[in-house]
Amino acid sequence: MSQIEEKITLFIDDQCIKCSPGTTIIEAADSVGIYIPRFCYHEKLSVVASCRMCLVEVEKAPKTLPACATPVANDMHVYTRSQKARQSQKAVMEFLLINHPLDCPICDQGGECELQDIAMGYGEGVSKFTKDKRVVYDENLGPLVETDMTRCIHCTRCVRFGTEIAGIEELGALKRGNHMNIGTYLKKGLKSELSGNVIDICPVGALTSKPYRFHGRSWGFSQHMSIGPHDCVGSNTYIHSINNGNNLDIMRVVPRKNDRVNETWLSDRDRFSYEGIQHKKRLTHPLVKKNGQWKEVSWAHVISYIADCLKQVTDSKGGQKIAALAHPSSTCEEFYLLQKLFRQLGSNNLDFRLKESDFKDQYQINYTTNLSGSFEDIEQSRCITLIGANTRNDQPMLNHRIRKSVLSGADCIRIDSHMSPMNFKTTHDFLTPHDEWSSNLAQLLHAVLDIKKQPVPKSIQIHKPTDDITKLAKTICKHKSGYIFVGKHIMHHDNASSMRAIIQTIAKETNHTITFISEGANAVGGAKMGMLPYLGKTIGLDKEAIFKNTMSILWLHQLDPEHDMTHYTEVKNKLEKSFVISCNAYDSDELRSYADVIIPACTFAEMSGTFINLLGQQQRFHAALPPLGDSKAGWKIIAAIAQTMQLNSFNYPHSQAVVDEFNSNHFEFNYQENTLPETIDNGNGHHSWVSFDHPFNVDGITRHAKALQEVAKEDDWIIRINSHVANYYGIDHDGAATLSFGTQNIQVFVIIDELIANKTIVVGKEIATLLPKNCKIELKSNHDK
Amino acid sequence: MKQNLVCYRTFEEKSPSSFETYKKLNGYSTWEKLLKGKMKPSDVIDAIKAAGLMGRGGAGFPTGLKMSFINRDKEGQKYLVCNSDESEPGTSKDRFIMQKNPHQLIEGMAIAAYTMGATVGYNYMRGEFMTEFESCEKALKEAKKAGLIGKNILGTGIDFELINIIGAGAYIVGEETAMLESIEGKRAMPRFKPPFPANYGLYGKPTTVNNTESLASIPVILDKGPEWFKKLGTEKSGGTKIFSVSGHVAKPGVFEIPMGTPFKDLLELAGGMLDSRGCKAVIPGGSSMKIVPGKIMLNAEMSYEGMQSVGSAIGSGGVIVMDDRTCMVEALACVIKFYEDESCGQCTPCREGTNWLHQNLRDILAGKGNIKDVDLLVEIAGKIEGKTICAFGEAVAWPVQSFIEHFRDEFEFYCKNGYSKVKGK
Repeated sequence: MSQIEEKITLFIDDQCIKCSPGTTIIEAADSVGIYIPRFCYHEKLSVVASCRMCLVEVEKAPKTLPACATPVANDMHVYTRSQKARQSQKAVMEFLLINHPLDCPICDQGGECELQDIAMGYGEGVSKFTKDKRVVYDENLGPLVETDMTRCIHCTRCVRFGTEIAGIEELGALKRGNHMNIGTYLKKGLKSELSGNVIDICPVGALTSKPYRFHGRSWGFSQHMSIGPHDCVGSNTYIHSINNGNNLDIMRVVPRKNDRVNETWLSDRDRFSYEGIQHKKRLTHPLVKKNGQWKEVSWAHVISYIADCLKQVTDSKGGQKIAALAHPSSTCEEFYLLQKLFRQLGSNNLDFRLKESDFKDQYQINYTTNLSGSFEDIEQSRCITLIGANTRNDQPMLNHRIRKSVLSGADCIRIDSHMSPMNFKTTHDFLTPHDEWSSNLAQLLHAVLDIKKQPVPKSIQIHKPTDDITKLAKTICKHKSGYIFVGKHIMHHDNASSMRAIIQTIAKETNHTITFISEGANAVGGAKMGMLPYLGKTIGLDKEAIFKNTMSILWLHQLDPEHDMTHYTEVKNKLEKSFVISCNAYDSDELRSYADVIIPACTFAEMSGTFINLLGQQQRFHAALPPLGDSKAGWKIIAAIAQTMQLNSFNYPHSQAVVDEFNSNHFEFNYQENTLPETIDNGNGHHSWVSFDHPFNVDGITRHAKALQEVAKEDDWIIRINSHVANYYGIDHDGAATLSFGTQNIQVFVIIDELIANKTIVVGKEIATLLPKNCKIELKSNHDK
Repeated sequence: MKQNLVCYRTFEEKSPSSFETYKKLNGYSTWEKLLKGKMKPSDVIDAIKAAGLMGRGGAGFPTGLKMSFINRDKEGQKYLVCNSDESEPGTSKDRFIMQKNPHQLIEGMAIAAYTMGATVGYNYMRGEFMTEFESCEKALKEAKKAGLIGKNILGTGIDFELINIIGAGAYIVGEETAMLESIEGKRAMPRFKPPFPANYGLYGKPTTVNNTESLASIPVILDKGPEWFKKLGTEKSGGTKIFSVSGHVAKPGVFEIPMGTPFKDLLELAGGMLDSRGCKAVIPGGSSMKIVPGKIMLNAEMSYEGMQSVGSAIGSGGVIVMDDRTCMVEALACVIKFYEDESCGQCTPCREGTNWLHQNLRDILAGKGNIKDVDLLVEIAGKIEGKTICAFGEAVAWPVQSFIEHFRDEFEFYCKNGYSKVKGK
């Protein structure tokens, strides 16, 4: 007599359906494929029953009822196509069309418009309405979303999306009755990292994609399954392309529903980065620098040239003098073949951890099985600790899961040197100066050990926890399990190893799952494919050591050190002393200034490949477009070089053969036990700077996506400090300032932001590339009296 | 005919709104009886049921039955909301209760709240009711000072907090769920029902929303007995009702009279027709009810069943009288303009339909009508009716349907000739 098992039986259009109590008529109908027209209903949003399109006849009910909001009942008889139901549906359709401009020929939504589709079935050929139509002024929502609010049918999906999914209420209904319109009121545009989703959920052409505007008609597109190439979740996408006669042009990227990964959503970064794929800066021919002059050469020439160079150096100096660095968004195929080539040449100097600098603990970190379980598990968690991780900016889809857990009552603790507002309420926000990370984390460990009544190691003992830190520890310890996400503010820190060791100890003591959020789309893949210096027979140089030494040959795979690495001035110095082979998709003056050979590589959209996300899920994708110009897939280039050098077993007929090989060929990871550092850095008490890189600058593709860059560039020359630091420099309000280091002065814009820790200066990307490591900086307001 | 027996019973006193006056009339005695346990909550509901009190806000739902939907013994917060928005055009009755007899409303709310187990009550007044808000605040202060409202009332351990709040003047906030949204600080937009407020009301808690007149009637019903109250009216409509008579009458005013009083007598109270003209039509229950031709009205009695028999409803008691100079096309356009302005805009038929109706009427008045427009008006009204989230759809549809049903010739004349049949060129 279990109540839970009880099912309700009802009849929709005389078809018998069994479903659980609480189901709505529309859900029951959808489950058996009976279509009921709808506009405001969306399976992932709350029900408002306001469009009235889904009115159906229910036996014994005097009025027609909205199927989206009416719960099923036993023995209910529902008629979705009876005369009464059709009358209601047609009436609503007529009302919706009277004020709609019916400008389908010039509307981007044409062909995939819910209003257009449903009007075909429920609308009349000629409107009875002959009066004045409503006209609504448009609002500029920023570079990503285009508006045509006269087309709006007031379904409020976009409003509910903001409240319920994005977590920031940007759009709302203003005015009432016939004058009601959707807008932001503040007129500052959309700031959400998920804002592009309003384009998908808008049933009409009121909200459309700005970059895609007037570019194509959906019915002419070919659709290709793909994977979002910028974050550790690997959102499932479709790439839409069109045949322009000679070639396929990329039109847009839209989400592909996968409830286990991205649900129906897509981050703006994954959605709009496609603009970078067929960018005019793409490399189309192999280039070789001869006597300071760049020359276009054939593939045959460049392959044998590289093979010769590699052979010469390895023959004369051995494998230790060559190294390869790859962007963490490279595919598994590229990682695997790159390390295979270099290991066969006797080099273990391999790395993808481009922005990290402290690798002392690399044998203690599991780079491969980062997060066990599923993304849904995160939603069930009761306690989430974010340490140096701005998940909302960097990993929007992961953050979406964290947000869900917090909304269902989980505690969320943030510890960071600089924060930005989250789209949910955190339990504690703790700011630590950039220089004092270690001692604050040591205090947290101290407090945790005290609560757990465990002995406190000597090196930790001197770090007596403050009241604030004890509070954090109490919240963490209150929960039997939870997640600790460690983000890039820790990973990129000069002291990362001791910080990670402390956090790992905290995680162990509290039974929380620790996750190092990986950068790029495939850092987990990079580790699994063996792109780490210590996975060969001998131990090679890590990224930091590669640049401490001078390499004879340096292979840069899909990366621009200027953007993808820190402290570029030092890096460039070494690059100029090496023979640099850059396998890159994009041309730039900077690249030509340090490289010696440039090979044009495909982007993910033009080749097949594999990404492994944070959960270890292998997601394979295929080419959506033909390679641009003469560019080739990275793995093919590497295989060709290896074959020219007559190395063993590089004969792959297709990328699946590479996948089959690496799937049967696992690297052994022999992890050492986590050990706490003997001394913990206390910071020197000075102000220190830390660079802030906009999430839209993560790789070459996003850096060449026009609309995304319009958003990102706003942060390039910005400095953020809190009011204490501002006071110290005599700055009392936001405004232009001069930053000086060494003998140089640069113009910056200072924003006073209380989400920045004391003694910490957050500098924008363009500023950071100019600053030498650990340099002392001074700030001066330009508005002195 | 006896007037002012229930809600307006303090009106003849010297200072009608004062605490002393109300006490003198045996005020707060029922509340004290309840507090002291001399009366049980179930007695209150039984008495209200026996008195035949129907909701005075417009829908006429039996008040006792509504109160019984809330299980007072169920754990958790419950709320009582008094709907003093009084936004129905033609209605002006609740404001005088709040102006001149606020203590009776407070006692009524306290009794109702206690009966349903609610410890917090809101009295939601429309934005224009500044005087009423002040008199309610003053009365509340007095009641609190006397220890009759607040925490641990008269040492019994019973709590009742009353909060007077004032809206911003929207018509739709008078819809009960829109009012709950507004109290929660959101846009006043009606919620889809079910769930009804008794299950999911203010802040998601069980809530009852009652009209001011209904709540203010309760202390008198309990004090004088349900039989006394019931006998004031007819068999099916117990008690008295306040009618706000406006329009073409000599002395527009507000009258509390027994249910079942002939309309003729009510008209007499209002001084008869202005300039002794003929009574062309009457909207008996506020602008959203159906219009009734004058000659039918003059033989009708003012009660739920009486109004039903002439094809309308008593609604909120806002009696709008029109004389024979009235152009029905203009009158309807005026009513529909109001509804176009006041639609909240969330659901399609109402948002789009009211504007369409109004544009049609506006064009007819401008001489740009077409004979087909008359049928179109009825058709549009039919497409709005019954398809909206709240009863606003009916409030728009009924006037259109009834105006055209009874005065089609005027509409057709206007469309054909471009000027009013009544007023001429």
